[in-house]
Amino acid sequence: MLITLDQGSFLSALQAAQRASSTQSTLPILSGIKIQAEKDGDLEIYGTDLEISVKSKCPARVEKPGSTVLPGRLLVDIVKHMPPGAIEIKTEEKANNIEIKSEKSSFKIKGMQPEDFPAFPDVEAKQKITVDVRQLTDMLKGTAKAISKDETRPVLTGALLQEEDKSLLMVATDSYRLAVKTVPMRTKKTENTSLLIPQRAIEEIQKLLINESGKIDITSDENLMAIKTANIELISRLIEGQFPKYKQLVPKETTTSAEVNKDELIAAVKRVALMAQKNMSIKVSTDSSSINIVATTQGVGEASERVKAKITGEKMGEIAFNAQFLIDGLQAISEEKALFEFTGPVNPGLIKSIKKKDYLYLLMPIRIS
Amino acid sequence: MKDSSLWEQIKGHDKTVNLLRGVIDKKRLTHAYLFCGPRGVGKAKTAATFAAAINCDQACGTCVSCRGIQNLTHPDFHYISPEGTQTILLSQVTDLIKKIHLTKQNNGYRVIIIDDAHKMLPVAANALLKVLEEPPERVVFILVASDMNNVLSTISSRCQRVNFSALKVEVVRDILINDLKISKDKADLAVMLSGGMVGEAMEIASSGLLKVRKTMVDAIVAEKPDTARSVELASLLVAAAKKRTAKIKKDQEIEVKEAMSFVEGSRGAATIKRNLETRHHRERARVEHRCYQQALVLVASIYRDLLVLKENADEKFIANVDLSFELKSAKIERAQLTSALANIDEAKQRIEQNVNPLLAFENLFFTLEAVV
Amino acid sequence: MAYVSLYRKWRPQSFSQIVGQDHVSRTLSNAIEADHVGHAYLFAGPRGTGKTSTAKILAKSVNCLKGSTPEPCGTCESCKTIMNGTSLDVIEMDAASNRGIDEIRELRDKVAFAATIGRKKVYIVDEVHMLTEHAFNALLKTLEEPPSHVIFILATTDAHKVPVTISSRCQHFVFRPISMQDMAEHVIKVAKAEKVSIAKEAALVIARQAEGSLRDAIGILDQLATYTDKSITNENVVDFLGLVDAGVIETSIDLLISGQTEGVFEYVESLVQAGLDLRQFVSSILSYSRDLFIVSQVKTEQRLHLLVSPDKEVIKRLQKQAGQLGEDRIRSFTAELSTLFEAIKSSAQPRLAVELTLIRMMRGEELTIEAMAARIESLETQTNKPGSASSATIPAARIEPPRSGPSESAPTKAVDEAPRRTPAKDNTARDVEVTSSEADLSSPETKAGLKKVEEASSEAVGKKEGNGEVTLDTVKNMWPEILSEAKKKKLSLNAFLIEGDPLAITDGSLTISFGSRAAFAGKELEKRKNAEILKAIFSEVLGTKLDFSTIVDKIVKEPVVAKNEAPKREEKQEEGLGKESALDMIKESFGAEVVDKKT
Repeated sequence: MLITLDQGSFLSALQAAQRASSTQSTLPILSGIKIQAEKDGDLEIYGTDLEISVKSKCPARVEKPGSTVLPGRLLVDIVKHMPPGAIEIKTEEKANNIEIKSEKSSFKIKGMQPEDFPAFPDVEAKQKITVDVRQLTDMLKGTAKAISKDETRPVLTGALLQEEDKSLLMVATDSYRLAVKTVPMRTKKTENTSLLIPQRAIEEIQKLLINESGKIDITSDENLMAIKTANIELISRLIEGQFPKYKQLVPKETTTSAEVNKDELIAAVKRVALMAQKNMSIKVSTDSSSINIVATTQGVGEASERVKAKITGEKMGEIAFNAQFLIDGLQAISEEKALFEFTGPVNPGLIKSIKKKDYLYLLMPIRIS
Repeated sequence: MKDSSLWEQIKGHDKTVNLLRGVIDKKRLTHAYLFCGPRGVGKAKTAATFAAAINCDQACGTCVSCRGIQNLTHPDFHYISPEGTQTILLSQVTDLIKKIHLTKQNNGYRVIIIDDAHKMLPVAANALLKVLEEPPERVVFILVASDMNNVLSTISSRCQRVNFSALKVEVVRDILINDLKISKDKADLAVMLSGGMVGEAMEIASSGLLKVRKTMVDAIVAEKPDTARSVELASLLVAAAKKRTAKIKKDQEIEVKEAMSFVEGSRGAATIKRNLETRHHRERARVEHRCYQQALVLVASIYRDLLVLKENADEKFIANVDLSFELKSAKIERAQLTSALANIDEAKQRIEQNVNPLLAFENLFFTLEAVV
Repeated sequence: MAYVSLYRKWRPQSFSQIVGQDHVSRTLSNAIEADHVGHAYLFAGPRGTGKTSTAKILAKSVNCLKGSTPEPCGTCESCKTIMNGTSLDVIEMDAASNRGIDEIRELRDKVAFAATIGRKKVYIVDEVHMLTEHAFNALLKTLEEPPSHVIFILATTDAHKVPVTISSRCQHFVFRPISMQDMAEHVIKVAKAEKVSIAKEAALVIARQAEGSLRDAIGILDQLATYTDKSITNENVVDFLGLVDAGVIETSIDLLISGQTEGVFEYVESLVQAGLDLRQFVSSILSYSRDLFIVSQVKTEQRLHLLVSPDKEVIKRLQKQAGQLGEDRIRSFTAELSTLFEAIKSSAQPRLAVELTLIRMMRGEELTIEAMAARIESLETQTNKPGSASSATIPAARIEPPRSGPSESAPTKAVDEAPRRTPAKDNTARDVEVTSSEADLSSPETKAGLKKVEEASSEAVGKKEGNGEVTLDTVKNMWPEILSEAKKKKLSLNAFLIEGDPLAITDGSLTISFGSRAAFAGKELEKRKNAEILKAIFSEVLGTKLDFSTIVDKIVKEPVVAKNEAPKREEKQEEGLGKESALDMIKESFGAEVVDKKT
């Protein structure tokens, strides 16, 4: 193999692939990155931990095609510290010794057999979702916090991406709260795709999309999903099993509704929560024109605050929520005002966006004994 | 077609093999199997073949899936075993469980082999129970165990049991002579010495221990104790074991060197090195221990010969035929045989509990000689 | 669609479908109907007796959207999600992977949240005995003040490892091993529904093999259905389960009766040649000798058919052999074989162990009753040895104040609280009784034995304090140092010393005890040269002068009795006789108790 490429574009392509490679595994090859140069093509860079696999591309002038596996972290460090400009990569006959050269410096490192590197998985594009990158980012952000970290129930450790008639939604719940973010779709689908994406893939997709714009495709089959930008393709396994039927958790009607300035409420909750007990429980109630928040810690003290709101429906007595969970929900609202709804002290509270009606956040109350 | 199957390479378990092939043919694959039977009869090999057959009906051994299972790179195949001698840890099981709850990469079955499942720590075994009872669809567990006493009944109760009998003596001889290329005389001797334990027979035949038997017999039949001889004998046995591990160590050092030249400088390098070295260390310890166990089998074989003589049974039952002259000079009571065997078993336990082997052997020979 | 194993397919979905646990299902059904469901339950019992199934049914019952009912509908969203494990209100966690204090603290914070669609949040904690001590303490806090919308169901196969502080806060239900009768009936029922034909005999063999676990029984049925093309005969079962052919065992007993010791080698050789596992062989011959014992005791043919074999011929042959051997020899055979069974598990040479034992049995040199008694006594004294492994294994429960009877001793509130309106058919009195193993603990024999142990140890303590200088504990603590010091000074000294255990300190002299096999090591130590070195080591390590003497335990250290595993085939027959396992026999014969079952 003999190729020449640009330091900057090589580095960013490497970093993308490196994120998928594993540092924990006992298999040394999984901490490696495979590079492959085909005749007249770009350089392809692969990284995987067998759960997530990334393939990135980098333009290169290929004089002699070939492939090798190099230590991932080391390679990234070397390229990072090379000056901008051209880099040459050369392998000896047996592909085991690799030379990486910039104008002034030269590194020789040992590679591993590319045949030993796991094959990049194949995703049959049985289903395809096309979505605007910005909208997808909003969905990921709005639901990521509600993903469960508890391994006891694996189906909750990811977010559900689902097509439904003329909309696409993303749902996550840890059974204490539920977040649903919806975006409208132009075309009505005949077959509704539904993907349960693991937490780790969610994070990686977020990073992948940072500098992207326009439309993006998510393809999938029964086993895997793939998301592809111009230069990077990420493939992830999905979570096995059935996501809870979340719709039945959402109350059809509520008895109290409060329209409130989102930022004011967040600030108030944060202040009051300073006096909350270890489990961050705060009590919420309404009167005719405001939401009242109270927190007490026995033997320490009490805090309370009123936030002006437009109240409709019945007066709400006391209901307790986890302050952090409440803040998480409010923060996902992109508009100035939010709707906060209740149905008595043992039923869930709801936070909704008002104008676009594209966000719903459900909070289980804490039972006050 | 048939002769190109991996199944053909499994010797002496025709009934079991037919049974497993039947499961695949009839598509009655269930989610958990427990292969149990004595050590070294080919359970793990059968498990790997079964795993291959689950995703390739013929277990052809050459397709991508079969090869992936053989060299552990199949994306939907997981192999867990104690790293070295000791135990299967909780973390190994919880890591596995996480993986099981992700989708498969291919359209076949996900197969998990847990080798030496009797070495699972109780907490690891308990952590496995739930997923072992109701795994996601198209997941098959194959647990392999040679010591059913150390398999929790809650584990075995969740699995279909597949029993492996000990191999018939002819089969063992066949394997020793034809597969392992061991000379006929040596093979016969090893089969006799092992007292029917095939795994032992194979290892004894290829260990350097056969030579030491003469010294052992001398020590055992001697009229009066000789501390110097006991000490020497003990150190002979330990030296034989060390010699074997030294050989392994060389290969391991090369492996570490190669791995390190690859990952050097990366952030995970230290972890990888540590893991590798821990594994190597355990591997060496395991081989060393095996060596000691075999030495004890040999010591016991001498007492068995003495028992045969004592009971005036047919001399064809004597294992150490080459030493029968020395054996006949022994004066020993049956009660002494009983306590000798107890002493040997105790030494075995000691060594398993990591008592210094030299001390354990010295102690054993002191005691044995004192008994005679 | 993937094949679903029968035991999953036939998992009970309502209380009426639970097999063989009438006392549990009835009490729980009544509690649900009376709206008296508790906040914390402890379900204890062996594997495959329905603990988790019952827990799930209880969860469905209290959360069924059609109202709290002992017959949950199975069709509402709540029932469906609980059945397929996706319910957000029923949390099944295994204690083994969540055993730490952090997980349990987290649980404590999370229980405060309201249930989603159901009325109650149900936490099912499987194998709860795996929790660490700290985790148990953290759990205790939650159990002390349970929120009203939460139900804890703790399930365990090892109730002894659950601290009393926990179990006393739970309603305690004991799940019994399923009786052979119930089990065989259920096997036949399932077989019929699955269109598998099965001989009644075969069902009984399966039931016997399953050792009280329904899951095992259905699992075996499932396998047999596959391998026999859905028509199961008795031979199929024996062949398939790899049970040692009764004929082989019968021959061995004939051989034993004949007394031809040289024949033993030929016989064992034939077993090995045939590829038979010697451990399996010993386990089979052990249960065969149990059959012999029963035959020698029970005269009613009908009972014998139920307990031993439905085959008249088999019974006849057994009776003949039993007659030839006589009751005493059968007993001592059983004892000898139990010891062998335990010993060959870890023997370097199982074959030699088997041959030796058989020869000993033939010669009538098997352990006499006196010898057995002596062994058991020694086991008791061993527990007295400070720091010895066995003393550590005495469960804390044994130091509890004496209780007056098994039924009272059950740490359960179910007796008083749970309404029992339905009169029991025939075994009311046993409804909430403790399992046999628990009964063992509180049995008078054990207590007597324990008392002895306690007295003995307090005696030792007294002496040690009287001495005022070096205590036994100090010596025990410093023992590793003493050993390593000995190793430095003289290798063989260390080798001898390693055999001994410091037993007591009396008048400035340490008693070191040696097992009979190591008697000579003790003698060696007492030789002047060794003794001098050892005393020097004592004063070096302990900083004070200490004399010593050695004594020999006349008996081997191994526990006498099989680990409760092999011979327990039917722990629970309907009548007392069925309980005759080798263990029980020994207990009965010698009025002794197993103090330490660990090897």
